[in-house]
Amino acid sequence: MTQQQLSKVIIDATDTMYHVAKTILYSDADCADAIQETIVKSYASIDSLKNDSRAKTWLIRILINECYSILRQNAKVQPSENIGLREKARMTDNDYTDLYEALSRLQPDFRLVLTLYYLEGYRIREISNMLDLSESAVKSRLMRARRQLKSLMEEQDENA
Amino acid sequence: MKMHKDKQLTEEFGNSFPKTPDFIRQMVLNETDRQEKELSVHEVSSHRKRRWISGKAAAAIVFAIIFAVGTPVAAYIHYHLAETAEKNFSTSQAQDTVKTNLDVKVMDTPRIPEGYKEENREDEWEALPEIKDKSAVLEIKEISYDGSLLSVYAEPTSNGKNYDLDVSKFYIDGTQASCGATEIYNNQENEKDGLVIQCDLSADNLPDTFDVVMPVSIYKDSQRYKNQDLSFTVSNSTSSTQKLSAENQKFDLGDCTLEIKKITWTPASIHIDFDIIMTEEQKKIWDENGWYYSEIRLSNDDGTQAVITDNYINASDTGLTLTGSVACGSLALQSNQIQVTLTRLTNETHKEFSYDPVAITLK
Repeated sequence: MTQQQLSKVIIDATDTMYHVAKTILYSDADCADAIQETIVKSYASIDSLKNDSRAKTWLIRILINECYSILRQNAKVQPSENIGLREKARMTDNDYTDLYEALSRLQPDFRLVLTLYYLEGYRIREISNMLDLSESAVKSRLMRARRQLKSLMEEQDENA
Repeated sequence: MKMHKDKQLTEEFGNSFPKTPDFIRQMVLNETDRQEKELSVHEVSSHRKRRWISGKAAAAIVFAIIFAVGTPVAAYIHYHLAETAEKNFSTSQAQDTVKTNLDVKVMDTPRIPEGYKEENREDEWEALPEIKDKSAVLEIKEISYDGSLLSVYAEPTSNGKNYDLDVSKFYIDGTQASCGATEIYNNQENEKDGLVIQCDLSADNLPDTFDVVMPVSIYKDSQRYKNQDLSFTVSNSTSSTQKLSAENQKFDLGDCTLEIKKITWTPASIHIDFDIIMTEEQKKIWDENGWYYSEIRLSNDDGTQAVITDNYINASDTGLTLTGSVACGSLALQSNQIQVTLTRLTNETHKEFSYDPVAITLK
């Protein structure tokens, strides 16, 4: 794949990259960091991409690793607060929907499979490749995530 | 790429998720442009600021609860089994399956993960560095195997505390089995204390003693290292009287047929394989009503129950025979009778409809 072809893949995948980053991280600044680092690393390792048709999957996998890296780094920098993403969302004036708030309360692994499956429309097998998990593990994670999301939304309805 | 899955959820996700900010779109355009002009990596990636930590309150609460009840041996695995079962975890039989003081070896050469093999990324794997200290990064403290569900509780060693560790699969006698891992956090220092990893092996017809290789993924900052593979041997000490099962039973539910292909009930787990079979006419009704997934509920004589699946079933995707295979933790084993209830939901309103429960005798 040429650099120009990779650029097109990256630009076309901007929304997907933001969705994935926003699923794992909270702040747009961190999302931007993760996406930028992903772009840098993808150009640096373009020779390792052996199948051009998998470029987007490969790109998203780099991004996911980068997001988790930032998440781990954040945990080490400020290890005192246990503020959930939902509370963070409320602390800002963003007008998030109930679904997004409920999603924000799930653990990152669960949020990620839901986003990849429902928002981005990836198939189980593609998610399995991205996350280096078996298909049954992805299905299991999806099942548990959906159950928790449903429960959280019911809880929100009751509190409304 | 979009598939016909759950239309409502797909639409809700699309409508709910924040839109990509303009500054990120612009950054992507700028960065791709700069990379094409071969700007160096270091120039563009040195300006990060880290601001916050992700919430780990739930995990911390888990840890606190474990200690509130006195931290018995096998507390971690037991607590996790109870969580999986949702209700009525009990059985001293399950406690008896837990073993400690295991002989765990660090393998000299870790396996190449399947994902790297499938995508011809072996070179990428080979290029990953190894950690300097080759001693074990995880100490396996407890193992539970009841003839169906394998649970492992492991804590990072002093070596492992230098890294972020993850486990997502086991190799059982050389064959890969996928696992789910739950992280346990220390509520005071917010450091990861350990992992409970579980594998459903009910369909594998394993011998009473088998070898397990547990690959541990290792990360530090943005660097991934080669895995460390830990190996140990597992023996099933559960007697056959503690393992009940039933096979090949069909129930006409009116507008579909529920076929229980196999139920296996052990002290620490329940596994159920089932098909939902429909005629063409029944399938049409299913589709027209927007039914999209089912739930299986197991109930004891005293009314205690466990929901063991919200298995995703979409008639228009899957065809006439809808297959589910699910497992869960223990529902207290009280008799050899169990009631199975199938529930279906609509994707329009999430309205539920439950069929009459069917009774199954386990042997």
